[in-house]
Amino acid sequence: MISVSKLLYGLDAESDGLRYDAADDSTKSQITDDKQRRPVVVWNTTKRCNLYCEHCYAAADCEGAANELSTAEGKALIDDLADFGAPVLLFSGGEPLVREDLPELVAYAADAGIRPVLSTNGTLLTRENARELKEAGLKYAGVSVDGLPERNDRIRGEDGAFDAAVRGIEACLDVGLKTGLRYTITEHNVDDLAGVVDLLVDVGVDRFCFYHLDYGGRGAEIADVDLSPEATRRAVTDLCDLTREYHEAGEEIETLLVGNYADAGYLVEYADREIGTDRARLIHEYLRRNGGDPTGERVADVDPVGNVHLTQFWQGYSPGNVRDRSFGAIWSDESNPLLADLRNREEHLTGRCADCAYQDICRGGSRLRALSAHGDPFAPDPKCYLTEAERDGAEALRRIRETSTAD
Amino acid sequence: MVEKTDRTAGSGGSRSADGRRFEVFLREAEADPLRHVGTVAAPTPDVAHEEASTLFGRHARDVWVCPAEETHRYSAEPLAADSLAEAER
Repeated sequence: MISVSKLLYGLDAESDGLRYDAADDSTKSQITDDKQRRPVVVWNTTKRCNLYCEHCYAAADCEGAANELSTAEGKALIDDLADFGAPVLLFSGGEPLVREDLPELVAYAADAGIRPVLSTNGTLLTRENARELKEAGLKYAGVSVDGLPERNDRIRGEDGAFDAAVRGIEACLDVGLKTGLRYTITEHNVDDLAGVVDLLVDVGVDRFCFYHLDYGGRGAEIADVDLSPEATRRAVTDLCDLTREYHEAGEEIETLLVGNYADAGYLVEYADREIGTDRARLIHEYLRRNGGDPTGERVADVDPVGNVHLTQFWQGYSPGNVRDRSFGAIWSDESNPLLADLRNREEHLTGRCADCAYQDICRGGSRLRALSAHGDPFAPDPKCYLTEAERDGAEALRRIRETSTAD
Repeated sequence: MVEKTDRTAGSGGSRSADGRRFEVFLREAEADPLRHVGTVAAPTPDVAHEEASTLFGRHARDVWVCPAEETHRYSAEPLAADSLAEAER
């Protein structure tokens, strides 16, 4: 996750400590080591969902999976995660609000010292359950909206889903629960991006999280409508420009990008071009601490039946199941050769990633997309959109290094 | 006499939220033991073998796959062991 607003303009945010070790002036406790040591954990609490979105990585459906973790097992999982030191637990799905024990589990996580946050389609949020979740200790609700009303409802498979999600966002805002947008960008909705931001700013939203499509679950079935590298570069440029426009108008919004660490290199290039080399150097340093693509390191997933995954999008492989062995034992077991290689991926990346000048802040991008496109988890991410000169370090990085030497 | 570890039978039931899954075991060199490396989602053993080969090919001499639902698990500390024992009573 890359905070565009933080990097370009220094906009502080509560969660930045997990990403950059540098949430300036924040009163929140910050991580002081160079890198985040424990993963943020996504828990797909159920496979059941009241919508049927075309890009759903969890392939959620109207029926839950057989044998989903019970309330008691969920609490034992939370104990495991707390023992291991997971800083954040993201309750996801399916649609997590269909689980009646959600407030109980949120409260249990908060009591265990894990920051509980929610990923929801928003359509089931009411003022009552938003208040209940806030009182249980929920810190944030990310609501998925994937376009202006017509496109969103087509993508999410339900007429009225957009309006229902906006009502859910308003319910959160009414009770003082921090909320924000989650938006997965494809050819189907890239044209709506700025319109959705403008519309939701008017509603009161100030945090916007944009996901690149990853090729897991139903997302793999629509890889043909993923943006080309060129179109991705344009979309990211537009988002940076939009963030600038809001900043220059005195209205601060938090904008974030998820799922494509080519964005890291591109932000350095963008800042060098549009703001200046000093800012580009600072951004490069922040992103170096951030550590690049987090697969198998700083993000983990537990699916509805307890399988651990290396990211939430990569559900096809699991190194173990929390019903058999604690999360910490699974995550720490580097006798698993794939886990060990991912954590030492610099030695295994191939093709243009092997000698890319931005490898230290990108680390090859999505390993799942590489696997999907090339049948090799260490092949290049097909969604890298940096130019050859940028990858060679002949653009912003050259200027950063030259001015550093001059200093 | 060696003290016997107290193990509990797992709750059984499906181990997959996305179709069939297979437990995967690798052997790196002929003299090595098989090593469990997790599960892959796949509709058939042959597809599971292909998936495992894609992920672990550089580390595997032999690959064995076993349907996850056919595996009976007896663990020292299964998740929520207390509630499992309660359910059995």
